[in-house]
Amino acid sequence: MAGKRTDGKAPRRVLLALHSGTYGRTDDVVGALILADTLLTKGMEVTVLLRGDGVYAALAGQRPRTIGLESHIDHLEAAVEMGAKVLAVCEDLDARGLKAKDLVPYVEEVAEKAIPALMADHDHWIPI
Amino acid sequence: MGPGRGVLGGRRIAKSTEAKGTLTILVIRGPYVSQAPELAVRTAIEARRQGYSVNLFLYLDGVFNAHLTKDKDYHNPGEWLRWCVEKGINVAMCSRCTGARDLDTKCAIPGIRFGSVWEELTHMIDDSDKVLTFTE
Amino acid sequence: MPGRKRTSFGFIITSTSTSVKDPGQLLRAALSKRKEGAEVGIFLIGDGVYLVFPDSKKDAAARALSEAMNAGAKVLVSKDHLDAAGLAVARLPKGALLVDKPYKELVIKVMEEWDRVVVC
Repeated sequence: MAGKRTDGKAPRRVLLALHSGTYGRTDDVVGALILADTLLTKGMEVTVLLRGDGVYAALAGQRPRTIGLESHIDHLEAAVEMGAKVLAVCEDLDARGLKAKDLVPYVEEVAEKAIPALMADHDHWIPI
Repeated sequence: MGPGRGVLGGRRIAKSTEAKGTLTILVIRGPYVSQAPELAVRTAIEARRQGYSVNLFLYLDGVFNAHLTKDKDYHNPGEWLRWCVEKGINVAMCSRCTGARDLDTKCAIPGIRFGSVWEELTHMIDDSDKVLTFTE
Repeated sequence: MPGRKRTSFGFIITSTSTSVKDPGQLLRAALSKRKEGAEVGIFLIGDGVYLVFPDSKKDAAARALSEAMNAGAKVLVSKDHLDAAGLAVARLPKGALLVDKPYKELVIKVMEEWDRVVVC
């Protein structure tokens, strides 16, 4: 993992909870993923939790250049390459008619009931 | 909240730098469209009053709050931010977000630092006991 | 483990039950933690106070809040925001605590009592 801490302290574990994932809210999505990349570079552990409309950020086959926007997938991939874990809440996928096969392959589905453990396992929860 | 002096073992000591802990608050919404700036600022001011070290980082549309420099006779997030600066809260705004919105940093509230996610926010998050993000 | 302090959890709700941020999902997490025996606090402030309105039989978030309270979660409600919204104190769920100085109490909870905090 890039930028591992050298001061002996355990790395901070940060969860970024995205509840926006559409191109109508692109500033939120890109802002969150840029923050994810930067935290990873500084040696922190990062989980990106896609919940609610956030699950749309992981849809495979996105072509945002058709409307002149940066790709959310490019940012998501960059975060994954740097060590982020990306999770999508299955109840939220289901409510939106989405299945695992509709998403990019590196996204892991988690049940809503996993959220309490995620809260416990991370030092900071940052919703965007 | 200015420097205070305490007594330890009969000796007077300066304890202005001895915060109880550190709170970082992230503001990602602009003024008036959302209650987030008010919730953030009021929490920040109260935390400072209780003796905590407090950081406030304006990110995404949150940077617009830093450019409200005029007085108003209605609620004014710019005025609240000025109070934050006066109270010793470390207020910074994202350089990238500011640039994206064509905001002139010379027109921002004095005392609000121009920073970056890389330099400022990550350090704030790493060094804080708690991080709150008001998004609504 | 004997003597080991349990992690305590705080949920600061600033949005209505129908918000895109889906506070109901996080209130179900609060209920779940409470059922595990953790100390759980729920703070309704800003638009979060509107959660006292919906019928818990019809609204998932209100139901989760009610169930969490019944399971022993401590619910605090900002009096200022409740007043601003025109919501009668009489509609407050039984057992919810009305807070006169919400920011003072919020900071104490966040910085001194809760180990983990989520804002929604």
